[in-house]
Amino acid sequence: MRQPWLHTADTPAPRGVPDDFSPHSATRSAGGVTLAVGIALVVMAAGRSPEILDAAYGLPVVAGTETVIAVAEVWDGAMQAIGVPMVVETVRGVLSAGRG
Amino acid sequence: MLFPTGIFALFFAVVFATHWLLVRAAPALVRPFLLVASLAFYGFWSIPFCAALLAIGLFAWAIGLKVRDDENWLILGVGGTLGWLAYFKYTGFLLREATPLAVSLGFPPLPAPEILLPVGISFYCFQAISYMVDVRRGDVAAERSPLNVLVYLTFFPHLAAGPIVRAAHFLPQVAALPDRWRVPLAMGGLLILGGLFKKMVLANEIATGIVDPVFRDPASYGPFDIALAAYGYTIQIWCDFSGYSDIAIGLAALLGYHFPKNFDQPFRALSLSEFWRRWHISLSTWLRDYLYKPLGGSRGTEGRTARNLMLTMVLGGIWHGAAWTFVAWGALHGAALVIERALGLRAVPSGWVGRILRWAITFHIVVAAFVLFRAPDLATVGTMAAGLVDVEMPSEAWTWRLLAFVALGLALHFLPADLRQRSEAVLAPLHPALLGLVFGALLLGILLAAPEGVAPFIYFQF
Repeated sequence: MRQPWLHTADTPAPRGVPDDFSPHSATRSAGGVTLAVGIALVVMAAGRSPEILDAAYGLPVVAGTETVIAVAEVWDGAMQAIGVPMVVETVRGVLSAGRG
Repeated sequence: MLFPTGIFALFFAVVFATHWLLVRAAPALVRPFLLVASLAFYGFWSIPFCAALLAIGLFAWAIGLKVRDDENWLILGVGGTLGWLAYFKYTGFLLREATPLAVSLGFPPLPAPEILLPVGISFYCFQAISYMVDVRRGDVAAERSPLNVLVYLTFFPHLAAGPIVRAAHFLPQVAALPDRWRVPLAMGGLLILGGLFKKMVLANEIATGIVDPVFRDPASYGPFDIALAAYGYTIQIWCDFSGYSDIAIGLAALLGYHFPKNFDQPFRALSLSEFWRRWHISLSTWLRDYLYKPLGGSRGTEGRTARNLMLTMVLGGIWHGAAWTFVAWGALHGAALVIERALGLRAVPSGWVGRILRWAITFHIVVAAFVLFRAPDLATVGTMAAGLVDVEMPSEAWTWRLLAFVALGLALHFLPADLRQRSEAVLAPLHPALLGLVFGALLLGILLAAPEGVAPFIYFQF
């Protein structure tokens, strides 16, 4: 194994090459990381619900497409109800100030 | 499939969850699954190219079985891989360049076939060579089963644009299962977010705002626009490529695999030789170990060392693509390295004035070389050089926002080198759920700050 974050690493990193990781890099269990990745994706999906709905409408018509569209509509409706897209658009406006 | 897209986020979520599930419940299926997932990732571009990728992998594996006994197998393996690469990358260029000569000799014009370049071919071919040479040198054992070699070559985080991971570094990781109790979440997340910020926000905006328009038609722009485009491209290519590398390193880390660092604040270098120790480290060390040193390196006379440096840099330029601009880019770097060596300028100067001067000279050589790298042809470079001193031409394309983005890209090089480690220390104690919330919010912020659309990564064309 060559992963520096594993204390059992039995071979050194390539000579003289800097590294982002070290034996001191903090680690988590795969379960904890799955939870973090899942929540990050939910936050992203909340902020991008109109784009997700557009993407669902653009899917080819095959078995299951209607279900995907229905889920996307429910998700976008829920986000609209709590005002997420409005906040997102405000933030986008601030961040794009000065763009030519 | 591009990293900064919704479809990739979905793909990665499925691969990530399945991978760790298999590590726990069915370890024997981990490597076959990674191979299938990587081929699915590559298949988004072209299914026939998946077959080509597998063919190179099987070829390298078969050569690896023989190469320890007889060096001729290594010659066949390296020659065959380079021939494969040359066919896709250089056939059209060579035929186009040879046509005037053929016509002048009374032959009909040569055919100019349009050969589609497989994504990542330069990277996976170099990795295949790394495997065969490492086996020959005894740095890694020949794999009895082709599966590990195929996983090494196709592993999706580095498949399209590197980093070029050495066989001796990666195969031991493939052979052993990743530890599901030790996944570097904070560092992996920071690398992915940092990479996305550099690519989506800085590189994309600088590219669409100033670089692409100016390089498309430099005669229509004033000196300040042209200068900003030159500096801008230097920052853009660093943000784009180091951003991609950071995302790749972070994704691999979340799956339990380690890639070495590929960029180390290259624009703070005080010499060209230092620049090449910080820029595209996986390529520069590959060229050093598999080309420069076998040529003799710096062991012979100064003249032979200069020849080896020039050859290595020009071939490094040609590796990027079949165009005279890449040859000129490599030759400029090679010549600068030779001059730097001849003048004894590789040592760091002691005074701050000397250091600033050396930094400015190094940085501007790099900027000038990147103009050659980005320009579609040498005539465009000439037009840009003339435009830089054409004070009659008004500069109207630049904005304060673009100037600030270019300055920010440069300023990032002068932040403390261990800033990411310090940030990791702050984030590490947080509960994974809170960490996910923080990463999700930052990810959303990056997507909102970025211009519409996702431009492909620059190095995908190589």
